[in-house]
Amino acid sequence: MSVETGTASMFGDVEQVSENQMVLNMGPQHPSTHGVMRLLIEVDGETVTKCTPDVGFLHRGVEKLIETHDYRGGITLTDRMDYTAGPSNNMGYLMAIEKLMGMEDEIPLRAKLIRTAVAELSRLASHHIWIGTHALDIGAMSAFLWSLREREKILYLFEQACGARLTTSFMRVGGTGPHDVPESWVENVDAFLDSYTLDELNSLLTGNEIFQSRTRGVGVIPAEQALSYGLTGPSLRGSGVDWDLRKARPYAAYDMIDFEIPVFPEGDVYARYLVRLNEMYQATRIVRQCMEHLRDLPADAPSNADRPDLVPPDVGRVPFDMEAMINHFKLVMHGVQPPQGEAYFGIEGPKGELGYYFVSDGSGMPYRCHVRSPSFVNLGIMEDAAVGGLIADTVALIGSIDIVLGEVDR
Amino acid sequence: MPLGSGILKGFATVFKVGARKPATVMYPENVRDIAYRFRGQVGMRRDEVANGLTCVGCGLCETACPNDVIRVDTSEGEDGTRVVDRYLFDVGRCVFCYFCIEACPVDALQRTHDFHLVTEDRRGLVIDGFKMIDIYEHDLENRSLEDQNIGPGTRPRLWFGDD
Repeated sequence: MSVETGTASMFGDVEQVSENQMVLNMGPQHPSTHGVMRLLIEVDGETVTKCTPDVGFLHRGVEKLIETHDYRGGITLTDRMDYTAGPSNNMGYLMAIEKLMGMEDEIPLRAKLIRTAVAELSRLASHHIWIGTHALDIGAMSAFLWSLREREKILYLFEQACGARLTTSFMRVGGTGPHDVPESWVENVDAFLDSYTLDELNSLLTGNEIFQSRTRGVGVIPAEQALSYGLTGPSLRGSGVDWDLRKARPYAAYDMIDFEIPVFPEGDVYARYLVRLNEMYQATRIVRQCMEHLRDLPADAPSNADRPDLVPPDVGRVPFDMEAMINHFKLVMHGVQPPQGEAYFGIEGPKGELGYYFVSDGSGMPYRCHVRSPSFVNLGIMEDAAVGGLIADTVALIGSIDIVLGEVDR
Repeated sequence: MPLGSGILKGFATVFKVGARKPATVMYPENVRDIAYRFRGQVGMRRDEVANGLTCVGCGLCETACPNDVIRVDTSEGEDGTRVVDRYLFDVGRCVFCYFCIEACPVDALQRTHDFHLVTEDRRGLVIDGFKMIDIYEHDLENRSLEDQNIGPGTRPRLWFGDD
């Protein structure tokens, strides 16, 4: 008896199912797919024999939209891709533009430190969403509520720094833009780090026998397979490959900061869990060091590059100073105009290598923009890693590769 | 380690945390702290002399806005100056990036903490400059005195301020 597959027929060989097999549609509204993603799972009994992710339900055409905006307007679009870590996306976008303009060396230290601190805070925020939803998928309710409680504090720090919690639109080309953090921010971050604790989540999950039996030996990704699928970030480091852009190709202020890259060789869901958990401990270390460096800087340290053609003049001068007014109008009307050329820049985002590729024709709008979103690339592993496991293991696997559908579909 | 000790350790944490005061803020009755830089509905400053919009109609906010939220209609006045006929702001399209406020050269556009943007009718989302003045002035009433002292040139960073 053949199975009526309906819309699944667009996937060709899905129709050829034997008597013992059936096609299971997981999503697009399934809570454990973390958004609108559909998984076409062929099951033999309870065992998955084939898994095909069907993405695109959240496609908004962000790359094309960025091409229709000036370089500044694109900032507002980037934090809507990986909405769990908005500042990180802003940072990757801006650093790619800065590379396009060949001005990486002109970014002042204060801006670099703020960027690093904010990127690490957003890594914490992203991992909190991940640890909460991953544990919730597996059946632990308290971890979700506790991790969102901690995440609230981080979002409040973003709000203090730039005014928004999720869609931060933080920083501008050449530095922090007018969003230099307020004077009290450094103390607030320190106070947050003092009160922040991961030990609760750690004691709730890491040693828990139920959690371990759901995650140990499940969804194993060997190192060669991870590399051939182009996995990056914690999903790769959970397979024992020591690759992190923060160490391999230090950007921003990472070269002056002491931190470690956690690597676990097992390649299963539990190893990826341990990588991310240890990354969160490292992130607090990095933020603390950034705050120490920020405090050591002189009070009048610049937070924007000394480039009047990129950085608007002080807003207070504009109504009273003709040159400042002309400069201000010129910058708002024409924006940043990189020279002709192309540039790719990748940062180590919370989910992996987050890269932006720009082609410039010399005008104020990018000719072409492409985003290498880690979630999309990492999702490819589902086809192989889910096969042979149970349906419930698929749920654990989706959680462990940490996808955000806003970034997968863009 | 005996089986189940990890679960018992988790239970101990649950009881410890459960004894704490909840972190929940009961929203309609209580509102959590709002940071000074919070980006709410964009307001407009009243021009005290003309008792009207401070906007001079330069159109920078229109250009800076990534979402075509703002429309400024201007015409030439009797003495040849530019007159703002109408200032329209579509809250339904706004993403609260505040690029318009950054762009405004006369600080006509101002930050408010107003996040109550609900309307009964979609047409109510399009507001004009005078409504923006009302929103700004209503928001000022709820601020401390030093935060109100925001005018052109009084601070190096007018609307960013430090809390």
